Amino acid sequence: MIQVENLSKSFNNISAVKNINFKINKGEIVGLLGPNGAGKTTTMRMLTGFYKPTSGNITINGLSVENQRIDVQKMIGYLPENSALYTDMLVCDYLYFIASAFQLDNSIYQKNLDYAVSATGIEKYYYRPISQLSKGYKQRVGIAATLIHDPLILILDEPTSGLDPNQIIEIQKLIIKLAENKTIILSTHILNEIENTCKRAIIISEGTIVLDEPLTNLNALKKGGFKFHIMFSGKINNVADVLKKELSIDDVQLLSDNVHDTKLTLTTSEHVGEKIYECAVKNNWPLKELFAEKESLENIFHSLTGGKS
Amino acid sequence: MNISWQNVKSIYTREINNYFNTAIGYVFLLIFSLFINFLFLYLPNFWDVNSISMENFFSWMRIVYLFLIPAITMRLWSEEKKTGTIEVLLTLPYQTLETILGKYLSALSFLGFALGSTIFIPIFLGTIGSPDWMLIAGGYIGLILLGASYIALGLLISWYTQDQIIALLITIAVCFLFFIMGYPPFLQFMGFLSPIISFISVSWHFDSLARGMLDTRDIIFFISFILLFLYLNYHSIENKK
Repeated sequence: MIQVENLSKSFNNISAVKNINFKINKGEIVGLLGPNGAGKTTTMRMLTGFYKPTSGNITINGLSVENQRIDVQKMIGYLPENSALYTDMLVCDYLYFIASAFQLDNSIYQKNLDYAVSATGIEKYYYRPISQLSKGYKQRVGIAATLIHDPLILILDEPTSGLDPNQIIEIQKLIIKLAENKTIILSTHILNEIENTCKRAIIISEGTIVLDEPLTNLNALKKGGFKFHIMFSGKINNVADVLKKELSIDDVQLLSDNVHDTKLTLTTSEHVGEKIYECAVKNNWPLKELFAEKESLENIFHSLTGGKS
Repeated sequence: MNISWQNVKSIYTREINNYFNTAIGYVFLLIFSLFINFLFLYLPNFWDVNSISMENFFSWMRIVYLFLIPAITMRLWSEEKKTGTIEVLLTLPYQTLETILGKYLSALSFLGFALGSTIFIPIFLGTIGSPDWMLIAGGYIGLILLGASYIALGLLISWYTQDQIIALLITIAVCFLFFIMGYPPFLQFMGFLSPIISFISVSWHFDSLARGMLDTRDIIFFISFILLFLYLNYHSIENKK
């Protein structure tokens, strides 16, 4: 349904997106993840035709975004970052204005309007000025506007940004409900949101895709992985090499060794806490601290994006 | 490129409502109307001269326009950029030209309301004497074309900034430049370029129309001026993407 090939975008010779490729099938719900300035919003803006790519192609349902922009935009419902709305308008007038861009028949408009208003729960605010709404309701109005023409694809740029926890849960529920019959791409900083709503995650860092995996694969990675934090009293020579050899584990990292203590991390797919303890006893190493951390999506994100926020 | 006038109408309606969704639009028109009618009645020499004409009024309007038009156009793009609604607008299935025309025509209509509020002046003149109606018609045509030109210019300038005040000040400055270009104190510094400079000055063409001479060259000049700046606006938006 959405095919992105060798997509790049530069602003004044500074690359925001570098040669990215991905394909999204009909009915998928994909989370676009990345630190600030990673290129998520720029990618979304290119998908919606707001920006023209510096190079590369985007095709949506077989249509080129660049050459058939208007036809593509009719298929997309787009919620920009911070849900920008015309605050001088009433909610009803705003929805009518957005709908008028799609030249819908009156009966279709009424049907879509009823659905959009009830799905987003803004019935009570329908005749209110947008300027008087809370951030959460403004966000809902923005989402209602994306649904007004019953698009095949929803592109939501940080749909829960700035909302309180209850509002976040409500919007996430709504997104899951919408995913029943739409293809959805959403960007977020909140990893939990990806776990709650998406079936696939694309992690972008510095304009390139560093991971594109179904959530099931990421969950398997999470469940299977452990990171051990180990600390011994005093300086111990060759501790990393001995641990590698005796436990047959490659990923052992010496963080520091000085007269006070020696610190290491050890990453493995199995829980080897007992083995580490036995090894310490056997070698007469004064074990000061040992704890295991389960590999989380946060860790994966952190390691893939180099710890940028 | 096929223009859908229904789309132009959608943008136009939103934009014209934006002028009147708050009290600012009404207050603006009221103050303008009171100011301009007051100015006309108390203009120097109006009650002293023997002829009944609006010559002084049209002269003053050229100055008033330097502030009126930038105030109308300053928010057209800059506000959209500042609030982020530009992203909503430019991702709706509208042609760029439809969006520009919708905004342009709404500003032109607002100017129409402002000019409409001065209609009491010729009516008043008609009741107290026999003014030269051709002269008045020529003056109003000139005002409409001059305003339409400044609006096209102001719309383009509004695209280049997020700040309405900056848009206002730059538009005033550029309109002023096009205005003074036709006057001798400015032209004397231009040497052999002065005929060309005076030709591209809007005041030079406006003066001709305000004298009641409906010369097609002046009308073509204004239409070319409008089309040029609307095209530059189109080009700027397409390039920005």
